[in-house]
Amino acid sequence: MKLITCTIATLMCHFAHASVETDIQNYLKIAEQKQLHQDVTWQRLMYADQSQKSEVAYDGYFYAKDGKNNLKNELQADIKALFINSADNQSIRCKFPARSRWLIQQLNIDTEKLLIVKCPEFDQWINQIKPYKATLIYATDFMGNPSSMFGHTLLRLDPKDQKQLNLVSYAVNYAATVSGEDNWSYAWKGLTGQYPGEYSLMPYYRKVKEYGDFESRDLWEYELNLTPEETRFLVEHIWEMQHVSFPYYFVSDNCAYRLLGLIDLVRPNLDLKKQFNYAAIPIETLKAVDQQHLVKEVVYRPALETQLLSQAKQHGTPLAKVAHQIAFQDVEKAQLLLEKFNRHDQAKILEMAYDDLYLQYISRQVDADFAQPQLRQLLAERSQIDVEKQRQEPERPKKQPVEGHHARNLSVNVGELQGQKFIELGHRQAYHDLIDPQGGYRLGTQLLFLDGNIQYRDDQLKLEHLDLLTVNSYNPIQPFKSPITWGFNLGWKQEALDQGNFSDDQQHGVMNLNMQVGYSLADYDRRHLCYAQMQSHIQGGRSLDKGWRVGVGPTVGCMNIWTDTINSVVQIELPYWEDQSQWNLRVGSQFQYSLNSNNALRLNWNFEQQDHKDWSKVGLGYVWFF
Amino acid sequence: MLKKIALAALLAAGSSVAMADNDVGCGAGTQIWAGQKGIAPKILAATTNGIFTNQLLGITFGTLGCRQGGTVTAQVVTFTNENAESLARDMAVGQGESLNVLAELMQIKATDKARFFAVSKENFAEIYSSKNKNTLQVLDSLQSVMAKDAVLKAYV
Repeated sequence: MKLITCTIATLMCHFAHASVETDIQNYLKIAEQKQLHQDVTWQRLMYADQSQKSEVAYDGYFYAKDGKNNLKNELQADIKALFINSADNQSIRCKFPARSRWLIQQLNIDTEKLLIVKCPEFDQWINQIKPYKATLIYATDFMGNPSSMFGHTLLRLDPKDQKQLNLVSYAVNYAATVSGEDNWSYAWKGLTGQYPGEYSLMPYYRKVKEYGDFESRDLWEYELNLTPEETRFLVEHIWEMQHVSFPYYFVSDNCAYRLLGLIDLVRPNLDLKKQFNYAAIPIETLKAVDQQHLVKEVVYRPALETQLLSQAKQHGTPLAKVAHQIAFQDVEKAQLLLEKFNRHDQAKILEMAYDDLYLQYISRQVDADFAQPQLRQLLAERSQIDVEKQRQEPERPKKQPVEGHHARNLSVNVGELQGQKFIELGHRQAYHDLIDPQGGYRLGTQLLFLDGNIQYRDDQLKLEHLDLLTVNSYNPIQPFKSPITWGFNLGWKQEALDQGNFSDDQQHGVMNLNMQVGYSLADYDRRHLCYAQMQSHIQGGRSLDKGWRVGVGPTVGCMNIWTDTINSVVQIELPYWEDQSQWNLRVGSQFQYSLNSNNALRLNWNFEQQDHKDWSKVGLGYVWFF
Repeated sequence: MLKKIALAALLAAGSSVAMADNDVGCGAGTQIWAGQKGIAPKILAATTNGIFTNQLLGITFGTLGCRQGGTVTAQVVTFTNENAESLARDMAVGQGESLNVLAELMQIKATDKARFFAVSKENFAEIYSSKNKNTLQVLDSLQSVMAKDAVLKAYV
């Protein structure tokens, strides 16, 4: 009897095994017929380009020995792996849930035919996230760090019907993992892909705190219209990327670029990533997403500093100044000061004082031993006042970031220079100039990368200027602090020079480095911003006496937004050139009329005076952003 | 039946001893709080995790393996700990996004929220008293304030 059961069992076993073998062969045939290894989703899951080679360096990503370089073999190995009995968490369906799901769907595999697998680790993970919809988050630019000057994007995964709980949703961030304390090498390594780029997952509130509180960057939340299935597929794929990293390039293969890849993966008919072959500026990638009608809803989440300045605007500068005093005053003195105000004003003052002190504390301007008890004290006093919240939400900017102008431009400018007609053609790679249409951008920052033009005049064609990099951060004085306004410019330009002297008919090219530091003032909306700075110029060129020269002097200027379509920038510089021992007056002014976000007309006038000689240029130009 | 439960408890206790300090994940958090025993350091260790490390798996709040009683789950502790400044800011005025999240995490019904907001504002000085040095003490005070309220005591 025993023997019979044994034999039957063996036979059945053999039988079952044989039938699995036939199934596998069958599915491999279907895969071949459908040419699945050529399918765009398969290629994207494998991070392969046309050469059919994967860019994933991690061996554990592949089941076939030559999987990295042979997508077809990998596909076949994965199909076979679906039928292998594995320990908990070890099945391909646990380790590569997106890939497995896609194969099962494409091959129409009856899941009942597959062995039961248990993936407690993956299940626990995804049940924490409960992905239902995805929101693309844009953190506006931040001049404090070279890697974030162009802004940053990340993805938030929200569960169903939990809008009020967005803060505890999870956020997926793709970023460079920087180890140790790289300082000067940081920018270089970042530009040349020497840091590994990796995905990480964290509660969204951590990002809100980091960007909104610590870095004073407003957040814009673009809810995507991915279906719950697409969102889940995307999250399943993120799980597959646990051990995978790619070289991170600040400019091209960055956060924004990889997030586009995730969207492409779940929408095979899209090819967003392809539009950004050599540079992926986060805001430009958002515009591409918006153009594909992927955005459902836009939410503005102002930074804490934006909120504080908005309170100062609502309640008035005098109250804001009292708040700043109270923030640093001990209890008794503060009480004496507060008594003079009515309850509503007391509430306003205490609310502003808290935000002020907290911002100073996190920017390390104040000692923790003083700040922490003081912060609680301010709130305790506020809680005793029986008046509802006095903070009003800051007004949402009229234009949100995707409605701003594009980063690149082409321009043409015609006019007269020292009595001669000229025409100039210009081009800029990125990103935002003080004179550009301001809607959608942070007001008071300027960041230009590869900006130049050529000039045709007097039957001659020459390079008029080429800026490699210009950075300006205008930080207006507030009731709460007096931050520094700073900037620099590195490039090549024509100077009115001849044999070391100022000239009114000759120009020669020089390498130029300008650095400025000073203060600026503005209204709360920053529609009118003026600055005063000290500026140093260092120039080098063959036309200079010693081959180089230095100039130092004051510079003042204003940028004004007169209406939604008209703005202007005026700047006066007065360097003293050590080589000529002369002051050099320079006036530059530009007026702009914007036809829309991406087209504008410009009137420009430049004037120089030195050594009783003049140099002037006037022009009318047209700029197209694309 | 009783035996079974006792066994389960024993097993659970055994495993937590065996796992020692490793049950809060990996990374800097564990190091910072090493040497401290009990629930509080464990949860705090787990919350400081992830700030310093870039981890895809380190998101296990709510399943830390150590539970407090009532509505104060590990997620409530984590959230309160990491959002202390904005939560206190909201509480002092009796409204705001963070305070609302806390209410939701504590499963306070929509109809009782206004009361929760008002009570936490009125008793702010007690909840965020200078005596309370860490998140668990803050939550403890919040709970004792709630316990004194006719409606909110249901959530303690």
